[in-house]
Amino acid sequence: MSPAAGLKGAAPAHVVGLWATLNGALALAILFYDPGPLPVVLHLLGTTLVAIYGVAVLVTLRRRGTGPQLRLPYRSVAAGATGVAVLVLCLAWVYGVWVLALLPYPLVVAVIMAVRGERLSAAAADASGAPALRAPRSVPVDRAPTSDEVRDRALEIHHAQQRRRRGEAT
Amino acid sequence: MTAETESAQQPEHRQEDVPPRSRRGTAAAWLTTTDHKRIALLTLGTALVLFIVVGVLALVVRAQLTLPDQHLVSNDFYNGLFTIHGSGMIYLVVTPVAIALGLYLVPLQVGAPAVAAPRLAMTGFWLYLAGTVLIFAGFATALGPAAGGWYAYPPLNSSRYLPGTGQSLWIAGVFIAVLGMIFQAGTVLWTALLKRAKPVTLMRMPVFTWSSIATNLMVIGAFPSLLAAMGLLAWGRVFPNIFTENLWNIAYQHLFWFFAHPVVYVMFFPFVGVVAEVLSTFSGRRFFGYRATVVSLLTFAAFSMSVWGHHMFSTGQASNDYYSLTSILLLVPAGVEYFGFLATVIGGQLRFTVPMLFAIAFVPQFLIGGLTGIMVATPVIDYQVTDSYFIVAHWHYTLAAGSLFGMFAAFHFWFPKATGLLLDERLGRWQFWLLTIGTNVTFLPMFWLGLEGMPRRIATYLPQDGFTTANVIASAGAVLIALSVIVTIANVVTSVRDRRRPAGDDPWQGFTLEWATSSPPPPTNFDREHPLPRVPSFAPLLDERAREEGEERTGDDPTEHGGLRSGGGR
Repeated sequence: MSPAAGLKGAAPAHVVGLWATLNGALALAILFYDPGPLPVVLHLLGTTLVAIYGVAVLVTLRRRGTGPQLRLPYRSVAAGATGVAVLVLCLAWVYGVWVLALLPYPLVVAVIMAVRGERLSAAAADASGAPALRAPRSVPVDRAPTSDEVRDRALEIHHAQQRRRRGEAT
Repeated sequence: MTAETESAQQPEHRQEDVPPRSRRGTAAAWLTTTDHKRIALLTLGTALVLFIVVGVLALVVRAQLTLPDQHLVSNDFYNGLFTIHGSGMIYLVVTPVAIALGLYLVPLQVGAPAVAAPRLAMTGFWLYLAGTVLIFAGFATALGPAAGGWYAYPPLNSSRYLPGTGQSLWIAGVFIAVLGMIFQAGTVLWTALLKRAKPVTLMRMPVFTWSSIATNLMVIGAFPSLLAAMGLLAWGRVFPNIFTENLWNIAYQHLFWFFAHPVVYVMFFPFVGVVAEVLSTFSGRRFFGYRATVVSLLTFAAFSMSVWGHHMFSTGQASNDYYSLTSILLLVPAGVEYFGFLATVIGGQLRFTVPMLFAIAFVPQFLIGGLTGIMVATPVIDYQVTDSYFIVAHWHYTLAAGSLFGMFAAFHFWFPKATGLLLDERLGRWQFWLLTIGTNVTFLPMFWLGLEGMPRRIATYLPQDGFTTANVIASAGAVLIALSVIVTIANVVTSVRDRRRPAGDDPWQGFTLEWATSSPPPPTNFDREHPLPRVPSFAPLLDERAREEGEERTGDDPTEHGGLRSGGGR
């Protein structure tokens, strides 16, 4: 891959990275005006959070984790249970630690659902009997696929077959 | 085929990622959904209901202030009303609408079938809802709701000076509602950056999606600071002695405003994107200065992270030079965006639909909010008007005369996409004029009140203060705003109940990808009947129409010589 192509491919990370860099520069400029450490530290911490997000974007790009989200959990009971668990934690701060006695119930539901309950089994199939390993289907595009897309699709099918052979869920 | 062989051919498990049509309408399907559109609609619906509830609180505040020496509510309850009105509008209404609008639209505009990490987005909704319940639960407590203002400065907000469960519930509620918004913002940003359809490159994303990227970068960078601030306040509720040290009071203000200035931009950036989309659609032209606007949005967002100290000039603990300089620098990217707005409209073939009216009104009204913001970010002026009604007027021109108009432009523009139904234009125009007149009649006199010396957060005033006339005018304007909201509700109810105006897929001749799919869009956004069109630019449907018009004019059919043609079956 040429350096120019690499630069273009990592453009989303550059957007986040440049934004974080501009923030870092603005944070350091405070030093010329305000000798107190708090504003600089605060600004740099905020910048660091964005930079961490940018690094995550970069790592995902390097691992070719881009493109439309094709795998979806089919429901989100875990999300509701997590919300209840956080609510219980907050109520424990307001009303006392005895409220924590309620915490295990939503927590257990959230963990079980997140780990197992909301994923499709490897044997899942759609209405026509075709494997439903990757659901939903890719977005239909109103033109002939390019050779890059044909190659990517072949790679996806290969990976799906490998996961299926290993008996992995989606 | 016998029943036995038929059952033998049935797969052991069914695909359950998309619930069957018969189950998709149930409450359980909605509440456990992973469809980004439904998660967004749940968030937007909750926020719009809260907009009405929190707006009613504002009406009580205005009723209290209409005439001097009035005591419709007690002073303590008045403090609770303006606190829940302010914090409700910011934490529970405008911010969630700004983020959830991106959650609905960004995956559609980048041609993605889903949002990244949909369960995290749904967790965001539940946390937001739980936070809302906690904040409003304060009304059911013995000492009433939180009463320390939306910024909740210590030491006033420590348990020593504001005892009672209401204040603690408010802190917990704000913490988890904002945590929920961070979750949703993270998923939308990830989708825009990494989950786009292949033809949608970064520079082919619509202006709204870019505004959403800038917004969510600010959320990631700044919102955790509020979590830290609320943590500090929570610590101070347990150990109020820490706020006898001024260090912690000032530290709280830094933590709070590091969040609270960017949140203002979070609350209007998406609406800048909305206005850009609406102006270009109804001018029949692509947005002028796309690249410059993208750069200015990102620069604007970055600068917005470094201006928080201008809220602290009067503490003497923030550098006047640095924060006033960075605040004034904001004029440059803002000017680029405004130039883009005007250059798009000038020379266009304008259609004055309801969303267009709201978008046009946004431009000058938000300008008043923005320019008075630069004024109050200048120390010499800030020292004069801080904590006066001038600040209330500036703030409401930014959020009510600005963001609210962007919000209603978005509402009228995308309501047909989300529901498949058009709203009534006549009622829409009534809503627009009532809101425009009401907003200006309510908030313009407040500038004058501030310059006359009326302080913020007072429950009443004396007849000899000279504040009566302007307050009467402001309260009359608030009635007009309330009427406009009633007209909106009537519009929505009658449109949905009667179903007389089906929208079709693209009622406005839109430019961006969401208009290429059905109304409402299918669960995974694009399907065989509505495939993703070619995306040669950030206005793909405009390109498509221009190309088809060109073909009709010249009689050229590219498919005859190996080209690709849109609109054909696959």
